Amino acid sequence: MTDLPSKIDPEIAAETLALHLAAFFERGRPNREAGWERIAVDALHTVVRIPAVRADGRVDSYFVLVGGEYYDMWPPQVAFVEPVEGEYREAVQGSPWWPVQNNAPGFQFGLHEKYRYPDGTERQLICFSHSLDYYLSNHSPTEDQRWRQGRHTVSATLSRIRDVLTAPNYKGPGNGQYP
Amino acid sequence: MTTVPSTHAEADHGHNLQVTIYDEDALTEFEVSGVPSSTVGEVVTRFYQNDLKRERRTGDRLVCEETGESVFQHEAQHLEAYQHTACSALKWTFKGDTGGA
Repeated sequence: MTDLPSKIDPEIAAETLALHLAAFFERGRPNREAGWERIAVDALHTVVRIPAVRADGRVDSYFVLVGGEYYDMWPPQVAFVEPVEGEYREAVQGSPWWPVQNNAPGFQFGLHEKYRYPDGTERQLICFSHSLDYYLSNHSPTEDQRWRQGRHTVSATLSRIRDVLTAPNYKGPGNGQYP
Repeated sequence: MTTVPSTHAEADHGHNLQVTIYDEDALTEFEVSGVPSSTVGEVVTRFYQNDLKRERRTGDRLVCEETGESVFQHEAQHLEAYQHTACSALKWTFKGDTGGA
């Protein structure tokens, strides 16, 4: 059984997340493909716009809220969100802000609109071992899968989400019709 | 930079091919240089030994950046032939295993 995550000193977490996000945008996927954007929310939260590519080559965009309250001892907290009057709230299945995908991006992954967490709350779960909520929802990684501070960074998290948003796993926005 | 030695000096034309490997998990970049007659597998082995410093694991993924195709399925191929037929820029992306549900 994996220990439940606990929050990190907020100043340290914010500084580390900012450093790693800057490095990701400078040297990671955003440096090699168009469509990425960072939108600051507060010291511990950033919204990242991520491109998604359909099978026919069309490119969509999704917003992912990245939270660093437990970072980088634990992965960042991530959720698909939609912009609402200057703020961001969790995306709803069937909306253009919710990606239709097969949960088969080439690694173990699950996207749940509403998941009941052990603490009784019900909210989105992006389920893979580079996402904080994987641990908050009592999932247990193997030693090879476990998030490792000093080895894994927010690059691992956002790059995997980008992989999820690639055809053939990715179909299109939630308000469309797909075969 | 890591270099894979030649075992076929005459065929190697005296030049090395450079493979760039992006580790997306740690956001680091490695360069492994190999002679044209070295195999893709030899380059992969050097990457694991000298850069990752561990054994390969079941869930590891190493893909050609331009095609998304797994590098592991080309391990027996000579590097120059691999460059001409499968991954012209010799840029790879490494991602370790993840769990999920």
